[in-house]
Amino acid sequence: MKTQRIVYNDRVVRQFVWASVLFGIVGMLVGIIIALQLAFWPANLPPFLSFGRLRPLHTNAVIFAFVGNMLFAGVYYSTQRLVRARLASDILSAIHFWGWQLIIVSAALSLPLGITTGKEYAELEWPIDISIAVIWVVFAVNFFWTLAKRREKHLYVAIWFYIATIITVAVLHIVNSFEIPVGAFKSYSIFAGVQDALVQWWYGHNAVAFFLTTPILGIMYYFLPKAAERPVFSYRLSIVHFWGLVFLYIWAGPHHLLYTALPDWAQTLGMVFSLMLWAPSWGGMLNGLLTLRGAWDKLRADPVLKFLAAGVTFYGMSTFEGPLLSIKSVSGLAHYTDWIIGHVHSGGLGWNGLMAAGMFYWLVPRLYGAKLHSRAAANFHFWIATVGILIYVIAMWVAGITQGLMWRAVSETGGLLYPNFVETYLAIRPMYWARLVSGLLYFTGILLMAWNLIKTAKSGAAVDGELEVAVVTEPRERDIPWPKLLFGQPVMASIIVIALLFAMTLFDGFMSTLLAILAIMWGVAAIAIGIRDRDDEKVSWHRALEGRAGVFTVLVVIGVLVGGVAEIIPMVISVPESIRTTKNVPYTPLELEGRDVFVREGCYTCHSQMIRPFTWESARYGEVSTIDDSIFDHPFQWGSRRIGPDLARVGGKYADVWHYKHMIDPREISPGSNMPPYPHLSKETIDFAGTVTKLRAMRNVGVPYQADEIQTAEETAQAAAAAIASGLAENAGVAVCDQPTDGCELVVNSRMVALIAYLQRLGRVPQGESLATADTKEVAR
Amino acid sequence: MSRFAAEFFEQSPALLYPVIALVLFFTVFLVVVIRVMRMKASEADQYARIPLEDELEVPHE
Repeated sequence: MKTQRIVYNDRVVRQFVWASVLFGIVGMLVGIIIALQLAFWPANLPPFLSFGRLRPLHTNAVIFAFVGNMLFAGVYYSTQRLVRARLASDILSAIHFWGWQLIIVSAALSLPLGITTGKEYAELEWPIDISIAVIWVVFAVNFFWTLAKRREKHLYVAIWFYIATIITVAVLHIVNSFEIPVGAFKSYSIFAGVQDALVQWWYGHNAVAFFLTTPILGIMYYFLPKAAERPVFSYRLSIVHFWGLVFLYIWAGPHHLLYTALPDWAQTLGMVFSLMLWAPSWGGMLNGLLTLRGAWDKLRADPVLKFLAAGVTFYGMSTFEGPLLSIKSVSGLAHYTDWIIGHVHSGGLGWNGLMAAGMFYWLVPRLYGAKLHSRAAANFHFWIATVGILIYVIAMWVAGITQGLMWRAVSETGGLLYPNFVETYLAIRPMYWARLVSGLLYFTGILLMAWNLIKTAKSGAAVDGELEVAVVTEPRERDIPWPKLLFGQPVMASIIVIALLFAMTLFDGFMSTLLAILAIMWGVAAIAIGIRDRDDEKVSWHRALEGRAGVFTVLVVIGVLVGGVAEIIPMVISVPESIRTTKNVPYTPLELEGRDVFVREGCYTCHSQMIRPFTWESARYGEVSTIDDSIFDHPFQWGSRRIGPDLARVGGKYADVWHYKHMIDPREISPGSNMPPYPHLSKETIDFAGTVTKLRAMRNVGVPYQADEIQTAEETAQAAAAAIASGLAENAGVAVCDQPTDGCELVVNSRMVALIAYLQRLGRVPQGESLATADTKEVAR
Repeated sequence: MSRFAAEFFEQSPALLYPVIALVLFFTVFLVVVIRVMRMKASEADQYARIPLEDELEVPHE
C-alpha cells in the first residue's frame, strides 16, 4: 500500500493561540478597570474611558478576541487531526487570522470613541459588521473545504459542534446586524422596540450558546479524551447532547426578556425551553467528567486535566444556574441585578477561561516540541483562578440578591423601604471591592500562564504535526445520494406525524382524538419498522448522515432556523400593524439627537428602560412599560442591568436644571452615586445639518416622519435646543453661549442639551400633535 | 377548529409557526434518541477512538 505524509498547518494554530493569550490579557485588564470604576467612580478618568464606553470593550474583547481566537486555534488543530487532512488553504487560513485581528483592533479603537450600535454584544458598527461576516465566510469555506478533502469518512462529534457553530453564528450575526447606515460610523437597526429586543436577545443568548458553548464543547470532546488518554465516556450520549443543545438553545433567548413588554407566549416559550436545556447541558457535563473515569488520579499531577475537569464542572454549574434564572419568579428577583453578572462570569471565567488555559497548557508544548516550562506555575495558576472565580461569583450572588430584595422591599403600608436608588448601591459596594480582588487574582493567573507559555515556546522550536496515511486511488463512492438522506425514512415519518398532529388542532371532539391516535400509531409503526430493519445490510440513516458533511449541515441549518424564525416572525408581522394604531409619536429631531448621545455614551450599560409589572417597580419608576412606549426605538434601549435606576418614565420627573447639574456632577444631586460625570457633554457640539439624514434613515426603517418634518429638522432642532438652553440660563443662571470657544458653561448645540431633551421625553407622549410641530409653533410665537 | 386552538390563535395567526416548530423539534429529537439507542456498542466505540488515533505523536517530553 502506498502511503503519503500529511503535514498539518499548525502555524495558524500557533498564531491564534498567541492572539488569544494577548487579547485575554487586554480584555481582562479592561474588566478590572470597569470593576474599579463601579466601586470607585473617580476611576472614570478621561471621558472616552468611562464605564459606558469600556464595558462594551470588555465584553467584546473577552468574547470575540479571547474566546474567539482560542476557539479558532482549537477548531483548526483538532479538525485537521480528526479528518486526517491539512487545512484546505494556507491563504484562507492567513486571511482568517489577520482579518480577525484587524476586526479586533477596529473594535478596540471604535468602542472607546463611542462608535456603537447600542445593542449588547453586537455594539460594533456596520463597516465592522460587514468585515465580520466576510471573515466568518472565509473561516467557513476553509473549514468545509477541509472536510471535503478528509480521509476519515466518519465525522467525529466535535466536528458536528463546529458545523453548528459556523452556521448558527453566521445566521445570528447577519440577522441581528440588519441596519440602515446613516454615515460611515453610524447606523440604525431596522427592527423597532419589541422586535429589536427579541432579535437582539435571540442573538445575544445564542452568541453565548454558539460562540461560547458549542465550539468549546467540540474542543472538550477532542482535548479531554486526548489529555486523559481514553475515549469519551459515551459516544451515544454525545450525539443526544448535540441534537438536544442545537434544538433547545435557539428558543431560549426570550428568558432575557421575562416580565418585559414582550408578549407572554414568547416569554413562556423562552422559560420552558431554558428549563429543558438543563438536560442536554448536564448530559454533556457528565459525559465530560465521566471520561475521566479511572483517570482521576492523573488530576493530582497534570495541570491540563485539572483545568479541563474544573472547566467542565463550571459548565455544569452555570448551565444549572441559567435555567434556574429563567424561571419567571426567580427572574423577577434576579433580572437587572449583579446576580446575572455572577452567572455570566461563572460561565466566562469558569468554563471558557479554564478550558482555554487547559487547552493552551496541552497545546503549546506540542506546538513547539518542548516540555511545559513550569508545572508548578500552571498548578498555582489553577488554584488562584479557581479561588478568584469563587470569590467573584459569591460576591455577585450576595450583591445581586441584596439588590433584588432591597428594590422590592415595601413597608406594611405599601411604601418603598429604600426609595433612594443610591442606598441599594451603597449596600453592595463592599461586594464590588471583593469582585475587584477576585478579578485581580484571576488576572494574575492569566499573566502567569502567558509567561509560562512563552518560556515553553522559547525552550523549543515550532513543529507542525505529521501523519502517515494510505494514498486513496479510487474516488470516494457516494453510497447514498443526498435526496435519499434529506427525504429519508426518519424525516418523512416525522413530517407525517407533524401533519397528523397539526390536523388534530383543526378539529373538535372525536375527529381530533382519532387524528391523535393515528399520529401516535404512525410514530410507533415507523419506529417498529426501523427496529425490524436494524440487522439489514443497509447502512442506517443517521450513520450515513454522520459521514455526509453537506447534508448534515443542511439539517443543522433547519434545526436552528426553525426556532429563530418561529419566534421572530410573529413579532415582525405584528409591529407594522401596531404602528398604525399607536398613540405614540416619533421623537423630535433634537430628541433623536439626544437619543444618539444616550447610545453613544453607553448609558444602557447601567440604565434600563423597561418597567416590569410589579407594584414595587411602578412605585419606584412609574407606570408599567408597554410595547407602545418603544415602538419607534431603533435600536431598543430596554437594557439588561440597573447599576442606576430605570429611565423608562424619567421624562418630566425632574426639571432640566436637575439633569444638567446631575450630569455635571452626579454626586452634587445624588450623594454616594457611582455615575461617571459628563461635564464634557456641555461643550461637545452637534451639527444639526446632519439631523435630516438621521430622520430620513428613520423613515426608511418605518418611523412615520412627515416630509416637512424632515425638511425642517435642522431649524426645529436648533429652536428646541435654544429653548432648553435659555431655560437653563433663566432658571439656574447657567452661562450659555453658541460656540465652545466662547468660554461659557453650556453650548446651545451641545450633546448635553440634546440628551436633556431626550431624557425629558422618556415615557411621555405629547398629546394631540407631534412635538416637532408643537416646537415650531412655539418658536413662531 | 377546536375551541382550544381557536382561543390560542386568536392572539395571532402567526402563532402557528412556533407550534409547527415545536412539534418538528420534538419529533426529530425523538428520532435521534431512538436511533442512538439502537446504535451498536462496537460502532460507537470505534467512533469514540477517532481522536486517540489521529497522529504520529511528536516527541515532546
